[in-house]
Amino acid sequence: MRDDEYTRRVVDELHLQPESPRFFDDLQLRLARGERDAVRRWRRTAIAAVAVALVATAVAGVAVATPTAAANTVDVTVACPNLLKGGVGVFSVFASPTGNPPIESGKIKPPPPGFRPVDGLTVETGDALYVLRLTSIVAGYQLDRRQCVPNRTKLKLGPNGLPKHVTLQVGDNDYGERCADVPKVVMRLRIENDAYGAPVRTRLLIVRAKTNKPLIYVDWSRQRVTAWDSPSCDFTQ
Amino acid sequence: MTADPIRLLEHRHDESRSPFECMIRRHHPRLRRFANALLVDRARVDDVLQEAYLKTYRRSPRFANEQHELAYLHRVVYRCCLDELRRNRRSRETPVGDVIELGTTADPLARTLAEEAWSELSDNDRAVLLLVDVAGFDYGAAARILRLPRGTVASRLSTARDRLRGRMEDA
Repeated sequence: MRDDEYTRRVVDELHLQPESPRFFDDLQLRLARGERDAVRRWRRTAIAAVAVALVATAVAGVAVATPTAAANTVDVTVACPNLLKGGVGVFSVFASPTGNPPIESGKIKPPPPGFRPVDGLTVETGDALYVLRLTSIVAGYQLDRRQCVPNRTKLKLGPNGLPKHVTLQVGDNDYGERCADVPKVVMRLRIENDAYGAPVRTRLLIVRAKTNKPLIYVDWSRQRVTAWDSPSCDFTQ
Repeated sequence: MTADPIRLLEHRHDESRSPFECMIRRHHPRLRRFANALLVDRARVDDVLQEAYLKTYRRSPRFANEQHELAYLHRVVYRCCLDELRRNRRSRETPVGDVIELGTTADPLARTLAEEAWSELSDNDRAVLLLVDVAGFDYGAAARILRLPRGTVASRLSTARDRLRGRMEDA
């Protein structure tokens, strides 16, 4: 008997746990709940972004950002403790080039009802708590300020000696990496937005807070993503 | 943005299934078999699969073809299974019910022997056997799913096959 047939035969002998009759109903409920939570998070971020924009406008006396407004850059460094998963601090980074935003009547066309914008760059901690989330097809970005606080560490944006992992083009699969046993990270985020407020390019460097040792560096743009990461990080962790 | 949560599974008895639902339903039996054989605590299979599907949905990945999406889903399910196995080890719980429950196999003795031999394999051995021998992925695809070099997959597979045969013969 061939080896693979032998394995299949053994696996066929294993007891298959009967599926719950409510499997897909439960899944639907969890999806709906997750979607509602995501909407709430986006809404909170949008409200915060509008408030910040209004304050900035009042102070600087400049026009509210419109399609004719100048592009801008956001550069922040924050420290974020990682939530535990399996007893250790864990964070994951996902990135995918999401293309150019659809423009209609001088504005970014919102996704149709029932469709969530595809994520371009995300940082998650623990069991999928989003710390950072942005995409090229929606203006603004989402940074969880409850989880992350400003930090004064000076970080140079660049691979900082990390080995290159992958370069992705639009249509490729996404990049995903997970680093475990990292209690706290410091990350520097530099987002270059276009006149619509949608990210054009984002550079993200994540280092271990205790040692400043670089873990992941991602150079994200609408058409291409290049990622460098530490060998200590592993998607399968 | 989405006042009405996306109705992914609501119309599953209709023709109007969403692409995501179609994809999940297309691969669910294979993924279920994969997770079932990989996990020690089989009572957690449903939860782990649901978690994997939620992650896939949240990522909204795009695929070039069906083989690509199958590999991606296996990768996510594999990752979720590893999380579960790690949790299981940390809590040091011994799952019960795997062997005691009656399955559909005609030969209960063979099932018990297979269960015993299979459960003695390491997680890595089980994963590589399932991906290559059972799911039918080639070495390259299995290597990408496991994030291992191709040569490592080949050697692990060979070792795992020997171990499985050895365990079965011992049992």
